[in-house]
Amino acid sequence: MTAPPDPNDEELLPRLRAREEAAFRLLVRRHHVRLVAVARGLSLPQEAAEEVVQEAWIAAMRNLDGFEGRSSLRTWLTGIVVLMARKAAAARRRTRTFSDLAGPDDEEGGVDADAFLADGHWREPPWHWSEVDLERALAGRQVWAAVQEAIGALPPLQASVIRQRDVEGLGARETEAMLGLSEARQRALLDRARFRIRATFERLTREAPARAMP
Amino acid sequence: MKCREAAEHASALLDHDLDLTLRARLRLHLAACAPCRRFAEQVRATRDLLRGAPAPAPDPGREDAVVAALLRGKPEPDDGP
Ligand SMILES: [Zn+2]
Repeated sequence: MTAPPDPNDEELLPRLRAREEAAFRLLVRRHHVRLVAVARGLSLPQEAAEEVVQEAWIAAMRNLDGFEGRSSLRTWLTGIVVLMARKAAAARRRTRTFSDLAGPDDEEGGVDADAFLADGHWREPPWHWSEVDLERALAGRQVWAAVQEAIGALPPLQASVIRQRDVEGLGARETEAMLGLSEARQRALLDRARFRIRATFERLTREAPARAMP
Repeated sequence: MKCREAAEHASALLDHDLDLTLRARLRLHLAACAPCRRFAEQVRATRDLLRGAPAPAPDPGREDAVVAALLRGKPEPDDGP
């Protein structure tokens, strides 16, 4: 016998309405980091994003009766975070300097222009590596840990989009509804994020000690 | 199509997000160009490695703080007395 799988979000609803601690904990563990990434993507620095998400958790759990199940609980939670993060970001813009806002580098990091000659050919073709080389380079570290680290190093909006699209596997439309980013904007951010993470993986495999002879 | 353009579209190809003409031109280029094929394959591998990566758990301290706040059901600041 294997242990029963964790209940999904919707199955947790009655326990959340009963304010059961274990249910709160499961939901927070499952969504908190992703929700903070969403808030970061809306121009909040890390600490402010954490605060907004904590407030959003409280607001959401106080208003669970307002959740009508027309969307998933995940989508509903994300919507609350987006609303509150936008409000907080606007308030910060009124009172803070621009220097502590995240985001200007979100437009960077397309295909590396330096990798190409002026005529559009590769200056230096991609290093030859595959998933196996990456695992070897990580020397026993979990690939997933390296993935999360690479996502964490992205500019905030890129990180937010790639989490929704590639990690969670949500479609462009659902992501647009959640984050309010047009599909074209998502396209640009997602491309940049994938290229950056590919480059990170390439660097990891390149920097790994030369393969030992078997 | 030049390599640079091919590389730029390698990610959209994964999402079937290219119009027919562009996709055909890209496929033609990839068929003839090993470095771009390698690049496109690596972009695909990258995307595949991300899928389903478990969300990192929040710091234990942060998780405890959020759960405690939820249990208190702390009133929102504008709730008034
Ligand atoms: Zn090429």
